[in-house]
Amino acid sequence: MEKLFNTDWNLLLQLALPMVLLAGLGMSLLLCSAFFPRDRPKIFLGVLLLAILGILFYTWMQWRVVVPLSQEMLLFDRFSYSLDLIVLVTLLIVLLLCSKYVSAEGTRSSEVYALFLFAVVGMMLIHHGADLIVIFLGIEIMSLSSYILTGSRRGIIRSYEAAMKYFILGSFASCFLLYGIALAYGVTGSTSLASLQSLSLAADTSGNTVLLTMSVAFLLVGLGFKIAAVPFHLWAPDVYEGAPTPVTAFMAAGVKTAAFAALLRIVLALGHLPQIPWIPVLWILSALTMTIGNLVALRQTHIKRLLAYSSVAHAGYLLVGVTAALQNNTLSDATLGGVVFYLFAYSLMTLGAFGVVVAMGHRGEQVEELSDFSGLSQRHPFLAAALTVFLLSMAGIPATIGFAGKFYLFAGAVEAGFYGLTILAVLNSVISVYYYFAPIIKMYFQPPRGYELPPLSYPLLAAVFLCLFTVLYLGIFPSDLFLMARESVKELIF
Amino acid sequence: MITLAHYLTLAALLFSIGVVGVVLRRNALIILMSIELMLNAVNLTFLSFAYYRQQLSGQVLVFFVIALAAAEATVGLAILVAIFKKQGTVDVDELRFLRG
Repeated sequence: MEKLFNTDWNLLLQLALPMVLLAGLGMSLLLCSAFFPRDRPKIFLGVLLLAILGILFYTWMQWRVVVPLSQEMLLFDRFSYSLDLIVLVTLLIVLLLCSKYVSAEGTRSSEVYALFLFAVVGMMLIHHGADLIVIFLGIEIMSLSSYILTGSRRGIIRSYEAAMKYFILGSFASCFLLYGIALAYGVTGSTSLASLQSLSLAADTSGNTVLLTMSVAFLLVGLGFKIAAVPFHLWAPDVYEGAPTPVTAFMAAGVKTAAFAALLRIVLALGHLPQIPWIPVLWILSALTMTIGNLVALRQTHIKRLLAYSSVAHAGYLLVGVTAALQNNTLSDATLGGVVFYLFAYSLMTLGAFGVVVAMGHRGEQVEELSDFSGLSQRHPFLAAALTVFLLSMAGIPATIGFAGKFYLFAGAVEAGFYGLTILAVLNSVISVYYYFAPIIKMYFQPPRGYELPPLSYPLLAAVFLCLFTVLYLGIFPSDLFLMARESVKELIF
Repeated sequence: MITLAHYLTLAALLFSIGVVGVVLRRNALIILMSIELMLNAVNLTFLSFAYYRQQLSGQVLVFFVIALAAAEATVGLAILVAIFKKQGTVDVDELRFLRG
């Protein structure tokens, strides 16, 4: 009881205000839909966008002034706030993207918006979790919201199937994660990251090493599912295909960022233990993830499946950064900063690419085959140009944010001495150019096909334009953002 | 004498039964039950460690997991009902509309 009253609640509220506000907004949206029978998607969207802009600004101010603070269950440092910024930008763009979809598919907009907000609250809990159980609860809040969102295309069996697959595999993975946490609790008698970080098994005779190794294995399997690393990626293409496209964008960008945040915190907290072969395990995981993701993507003819496998491959590149960050046990800020930078870059270009796919959809029908993109340069030059930029950025062509991201990431890996892994990653980027160019060639060198595209709604246009501008601007002037990313990881606490 | 190892082994066995159930059974309801079994195996692990260490915190964690299992079951069953209304079956092998 003593502890409870020692907590500085005012400070806690001040630091956690973004989470509290988002949760409050989500609940009031649900109440609105209970008391007012008429759905007002436009008003809701307007209010939400303003609120999120405000929260974004507040989080940015917190990022600037925060003094790293760990409070039993939650921690607040620049790393967590910078990841908050990424998911808030993701939320903003996704809300703009789904404005058309909520009016077309007969789903109540307030419910969809509320679920997005709750998912983001879960993500923030992951970023701020100082305890494995808080991180786990955050992952679950995020995942449960995404399961429902995946199945939110009313009466469409493919959407339901995707939700079912996501649900079964997702909860299966959560069980593994939880079992890992239980075993870690057995070793340390606590689930806080701080106790894991101060753990030392130097002269261990009680079998704790075995328990801890098992625990780490279970944790890695669980987190591997969430970030869709090979060999745990099999759900990703099906779920990405069946889910409504804005939700797919949300999962590809936001959910992956948050899952990587969990992975980074846990791996860095336990990284000092010599008994666990971190480097070989992560090395193999990242090599497998990028190679298989890219090779399978070569054969895809469905744009959402193609982007799904490409997101698997990007998880592989990010794992290269994680491996390198772990190798420099002094927590080299350039390497970790590269990972944070790449998370932001990856989120932006993925959101943009899926945004164009959303814009191609018409009257509730989704346009998803690669052949539907034939001659888009004549049917809608802006969309064609935007998709081209996003795909080039994913392939890592210079003057885009994707190139800058890959540069910082691979530079960190070289600095840590992973020459083999870096060469493999660069080779993989070369392979990926082949399948990223397939839609571009279709758009520019094949005769137009299909219906006339309707004029785009303003929110959609704004979302695509925002992504396009950021991808290009930060691709040409990446150093400020990289400095910010480096600052974010300088004082990492557990 | 029943020791910590016995409880842990029992929990590990229950967990394995759950894993096998998820992997082998094709009825979505049975899969849901297997997932619940896995969660309860984890609860048993938490409880036995908490009892062994004479701590309360492990037992509190179990409450979180129970609440979570309830939320998960709600969402899972809702998805299942939606599929059953559309398809008339909850066999996961009948669900193959997505390529792959």
